[in-house]
Amino acid sequence: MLSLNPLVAVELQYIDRNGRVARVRQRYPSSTSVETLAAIATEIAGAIDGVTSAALQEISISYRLSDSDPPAPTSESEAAEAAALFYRNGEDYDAFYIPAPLPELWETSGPYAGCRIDTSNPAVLSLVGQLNLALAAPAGWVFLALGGEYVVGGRAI
Amino acid sequence: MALGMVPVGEVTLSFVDHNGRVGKTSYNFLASNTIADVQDAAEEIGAALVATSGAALQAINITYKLSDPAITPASAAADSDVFRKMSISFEGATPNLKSRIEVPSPLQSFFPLGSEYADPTVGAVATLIATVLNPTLGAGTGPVTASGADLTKQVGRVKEIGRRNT
Repeated sequence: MLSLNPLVAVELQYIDRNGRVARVRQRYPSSTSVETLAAIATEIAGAIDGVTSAALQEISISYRLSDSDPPAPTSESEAAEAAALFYRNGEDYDAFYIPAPLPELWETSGPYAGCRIDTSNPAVLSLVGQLNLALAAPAGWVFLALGGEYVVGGRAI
Repeated sequence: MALGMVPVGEVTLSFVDHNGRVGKTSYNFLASNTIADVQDAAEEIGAALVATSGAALQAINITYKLSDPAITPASAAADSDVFRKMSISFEGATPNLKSRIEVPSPLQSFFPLGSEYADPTVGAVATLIATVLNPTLGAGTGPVTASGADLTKQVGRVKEIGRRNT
């Protein structure tokens, strides 16, 4: 079961005249809000500004959920392989990838057998349902592609 | 220094296969949402993904960013070099509780000629130390170690790490 790690990483990314990048990392309790962490990072960046000749380029705030006792992967699982599930994002298509897809996800007949996701597969339907739920959330809080529509997906390696 | 919140954050789900190799998938979210809302959605999507993948879900990272797209290498000083760093160490009241912050490309003026140590009690270095140790930062805890314990005492040594070639 995933749980939120007790610490959140705040990274300040600096760039020098040659375009090389270095990061300053600090950790804070994950109960701290994004707004508070952004204010903390900005204050520390202000103090670093008086000490460095590099330029601050970016601040990132990363929360992490992890499983202390993760389930074992199947013996055939292959992380280098992924299945792409395409969705409309305005005029464009974006892909959502399924890492190490189960063999039963693929179509078994027709010209795309073995290389295209079977969108009638119950697990695929469930995933699409969750993604659409996020797309259709009233506040539009997940995904940029509001009202996106999932279409067939193919193999991506 | 005027970094603004990037309107879109990113959720990355990491899976590990039977050979220990890691595969990742990611999607964007609107950064105006709270971490709790994003976390809930990420866990639901992660659970649905697990049913489609032979790999094991290892972790979910939720990242917000602040940036200034106008910053380029030309924004840095001509003599800047991020491979040169100034290390400031801290220690807590508990023995062996230590942490440090490494400032890239420290200004040369803080280091007396021939010395690799700066005086931590004067100027902008002292301001930086005071800021990092400010108990009002970090929701009242100050910087923390991996164990989550507070660091309250500064070791008092500021060292420039030697130049590295790439």
